[in-house]
Amino acid sequence: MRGSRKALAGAAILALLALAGLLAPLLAPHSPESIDSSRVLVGPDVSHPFGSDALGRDVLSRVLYAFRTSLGVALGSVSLALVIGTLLGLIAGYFRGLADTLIMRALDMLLALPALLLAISLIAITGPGVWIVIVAIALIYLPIFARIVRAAVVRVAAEPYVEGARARGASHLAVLRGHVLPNAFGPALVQASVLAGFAFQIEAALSFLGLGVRPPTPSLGLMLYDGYQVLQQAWWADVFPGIAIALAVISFLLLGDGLRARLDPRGIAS
Amino acid sequence: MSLLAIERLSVSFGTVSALRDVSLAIEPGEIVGVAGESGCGKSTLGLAVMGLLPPTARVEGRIALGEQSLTELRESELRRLRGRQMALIVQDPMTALDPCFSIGSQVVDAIRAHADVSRREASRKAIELLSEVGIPDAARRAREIPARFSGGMRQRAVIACALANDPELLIADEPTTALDVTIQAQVLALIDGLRERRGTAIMLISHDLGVLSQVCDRVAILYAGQLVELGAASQVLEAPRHPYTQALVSAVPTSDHAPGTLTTIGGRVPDLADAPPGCRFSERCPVALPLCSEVPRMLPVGDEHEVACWHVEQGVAR
Repeated sequence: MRGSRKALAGAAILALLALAGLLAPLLAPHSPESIDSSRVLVGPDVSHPFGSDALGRDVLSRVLYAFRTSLGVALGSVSLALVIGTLLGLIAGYFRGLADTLIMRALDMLLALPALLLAISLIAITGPGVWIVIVAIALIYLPIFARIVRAAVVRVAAEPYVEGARARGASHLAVLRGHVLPNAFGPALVQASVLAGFAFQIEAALSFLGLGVRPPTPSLGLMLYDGYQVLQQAWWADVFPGIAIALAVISFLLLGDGLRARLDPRGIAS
Repeated sequence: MSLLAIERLSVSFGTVSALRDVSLAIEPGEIVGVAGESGCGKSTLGLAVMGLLPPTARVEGRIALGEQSLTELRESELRRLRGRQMALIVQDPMTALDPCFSIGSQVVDAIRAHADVSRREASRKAIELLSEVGIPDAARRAREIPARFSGGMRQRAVIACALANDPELLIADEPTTALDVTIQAQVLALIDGLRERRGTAIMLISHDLGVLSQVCDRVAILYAGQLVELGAASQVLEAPRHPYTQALVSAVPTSDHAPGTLTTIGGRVPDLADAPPGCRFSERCPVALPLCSEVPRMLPVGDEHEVACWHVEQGVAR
């Protein structure tokens, strides 16, 4: 099956990247924050395989730590949006009526705002930081998850096995948990994987604009911004974090594509 | 006392009147067929008894199961009865089982919805039930998901779920419609056997008069939401008195029909949002009278045989 091979490739790259991020303190040859004035913008060599940046910091070590931050932001924001979005979608799609209208129209208002504008306005109010970036990205994703789950729930709720479960005396809660959620969750899971990839890009964009993660915490977006200032003299300061972002996005997309073949044959999440 | 007593039940959705003034009783251990064309309210009747009509439905009249008046119970009280005292076999066995879970675990869930037993105990009973409904090698097949079951086997599994808590009343909505003829016969024999062994009363909803004649004690004929004829299966199907039942029975194709001579009923089923005020069949009835614009009563025409038709009423008066 092509789908499972794609999913496997995505999952494998992702596992390697995540492991590298998690083990950053062990793997990093240098401290990500130690400044060495004798190594300002020195290219890749044996002791610093990815070279060093404008402050003489080791790019490899910083990429490892930054990946950890960015992965945390991506997974955190997607999980937050997935949990709340799934709950709202379940309620809206199963009970319909007034609850459906209230929930979905409120989410439509979120959807109506351009994603970055929404994030920027939120951060403008609260000030930047890792947690705010997570919440901002989750807010962008929330209506997407809710709509996907609702669409799947509307389809599942009309299935005879739902009526059958009710006829056996199951409560609404038991039906939602036991039949509707398991049958309606696939498309949301596929979308979660795809959106986790894009979360890297949003995090990078926000940090690049100075609205995301604050220094000295290393993030891939911040590294791109720093490297961009010295791009003409030191390509390595920008290219390596760029490759890390690209790899993460690609592996999440592969995983999502592969999962789609198995979990969402009807293509609700597309 | 009847096990199920439906008294003057009317169900409407907005302006659409799906059932009007339907009264029907089912005795313990009895199989009663409910027949009629698509959209005549057969399924609505089953769902009304289960209390599973959508909230938009307006229900009038009374439904009693034993001594409990179902129409006066709250949702939580109804829920305790569903599956335990009355069970529903929903239409279409192909989609009546959750594709995510094994057959066995769905029967276990049905058992544990009411009985406070361990998973192990429930699972033992589930395998027993699956063998009872005729699934060979039940212990092994219980671990398989519905996709690996054929239509007939799924219908058996659905019936096993319905029997999980030994209900007194089983409502089977078109249990054989999606099955081919040989499997149909097996499922009917299974349903008949349940009544024999367990004394379960069964409301068998079907549009197929042949199916009903095979297992039913009594048959009720619905037309456009109105009960038109009710009585012993042999009388209603062999000596029907209502013009609609007569037309329905003669429309059943038999092997001695000459080719190309299928009988149909002229006209079409009335729009239930704008049904005729009296007998709803009057617009298509070959022997309609001016009187038919008023609702006829159900009148006895023999032992356990009632008909709602003005011709009968006039005959009795005469």
